Amino acid sequence: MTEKNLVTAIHDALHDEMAADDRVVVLGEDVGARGGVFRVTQGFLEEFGEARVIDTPLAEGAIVGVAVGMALHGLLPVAEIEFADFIHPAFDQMVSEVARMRYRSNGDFGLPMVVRAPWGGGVHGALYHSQSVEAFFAHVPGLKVVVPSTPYDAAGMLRAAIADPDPVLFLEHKRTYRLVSGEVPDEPYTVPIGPADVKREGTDLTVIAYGLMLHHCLEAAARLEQEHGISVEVVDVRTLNPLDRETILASVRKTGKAMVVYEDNRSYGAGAEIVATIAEEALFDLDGPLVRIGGPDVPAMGFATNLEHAFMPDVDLITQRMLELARF
Amino acid sequence: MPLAQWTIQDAIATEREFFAINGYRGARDGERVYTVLDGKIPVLVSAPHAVKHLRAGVVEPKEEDEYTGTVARLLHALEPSRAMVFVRTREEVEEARRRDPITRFERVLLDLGVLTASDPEQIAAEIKEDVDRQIDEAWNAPDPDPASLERHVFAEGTPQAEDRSP
Repeated sequence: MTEKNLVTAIHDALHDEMAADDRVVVLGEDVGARGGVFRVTQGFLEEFGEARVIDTPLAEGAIVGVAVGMALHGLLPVAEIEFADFIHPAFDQMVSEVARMRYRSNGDFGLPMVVRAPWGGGVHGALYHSQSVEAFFAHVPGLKVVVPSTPYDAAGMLRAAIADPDPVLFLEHKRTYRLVSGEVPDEPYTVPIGPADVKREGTDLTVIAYGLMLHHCLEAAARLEQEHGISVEVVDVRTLNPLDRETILASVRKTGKAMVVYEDNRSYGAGAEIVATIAEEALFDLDGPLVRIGGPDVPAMGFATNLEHAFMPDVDLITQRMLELARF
Repeated sequence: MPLAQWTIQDAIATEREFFAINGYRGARDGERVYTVLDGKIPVLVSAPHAVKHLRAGVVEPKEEDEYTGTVARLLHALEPSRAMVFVRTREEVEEARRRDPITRFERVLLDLGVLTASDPEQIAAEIKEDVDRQIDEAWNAPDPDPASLERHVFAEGTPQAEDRSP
């Protein structure tokens, strides 16, 4: 085992996959000579060459479209969208081609491809470097959407995504890149796409989260245990589509109280789907109201530090809302 | 010598020879003018470090490349940092400046007589004054009201907005 931060874990896993299989190629803006804006592909161009490490123009639709062609012809492309905020020009490719290829060809053609995209706030990025895009894509059948939040999960799920016969949108919360470190096995391993993971066991209430919010929730849960003796179970969703309803429902049925925390705009976000699932399947197991904490319904967080804080749920807010729900 | 006892001048003296390699081009990797010191933690040492010390007189002019590179080398020595050290010659910098599209456009406008000889300097001074003023205003401005985060998602407070309200 080696202690790594999240971005290094992704770099190393992607490197190992490229070294192990010549069909794996990476393409995107600055992935070659610059080694990626976050250095995820640092050194790849020198080691694997221009045929497998492809610097592209600033054209996200083309990046995903080219990856579609590669996947159809037997390669295993890992496309990088430099920031998730700029994925929108590729929305048509993602929805109309990537997600639907298998369905519309009656199962004749699949797209074994990965689209990686750094997302989320907390980096003073404001409108164009802080957005959450998961809800747009989690809504689309045929597209797997994953949001790993620890180095172990990120490396294992990236390997699983590359091995997957279907397309995977691999969302990496950029604030966690160098903030979060953890033990990562030195040998190759996979973390399956789909299952959620109980990151902290508890008995008094369930909190469901992903991305940076997962880590805020874990910190809040520890604080609540220490200061109030309240036991919080924290479920890391890990995969938004397909959603692991069983793990979420099992936890909620055990604790009787549920809260969902996410930094995307609150309305119509992933939290809405999770809360609706609990309301449909476990209403009579609940001992308190369903609680949803999300960002405000505004286009983006501001540049100013206090506006960013006003947008993003923080540990204090989450702790307070957990306490209120536990005492309900 | 233990690293903690190094002064920056010691470090520059030690590293000068390294950075003088190949006419201050550093170790060439193909056509790229940089050398990579392998390690696990990425480290970027930027020019402002050198500028600050140049202004403070800690390093002499023409030593800035050595200084900046040396900071990266020192961080690397503390391992396991990974340092990418860029070194450019003055000729390369001059060439880049010669190809600067703004400078080239300025020359075109001067040749066409659109600008007089004194205009570029005056325009640059006006721009600098404007930028400096706005930077000062930004630094001195109070933090915005957090409630402003929720404004201007849709039209508000305008006659058009009021006319069109349901």
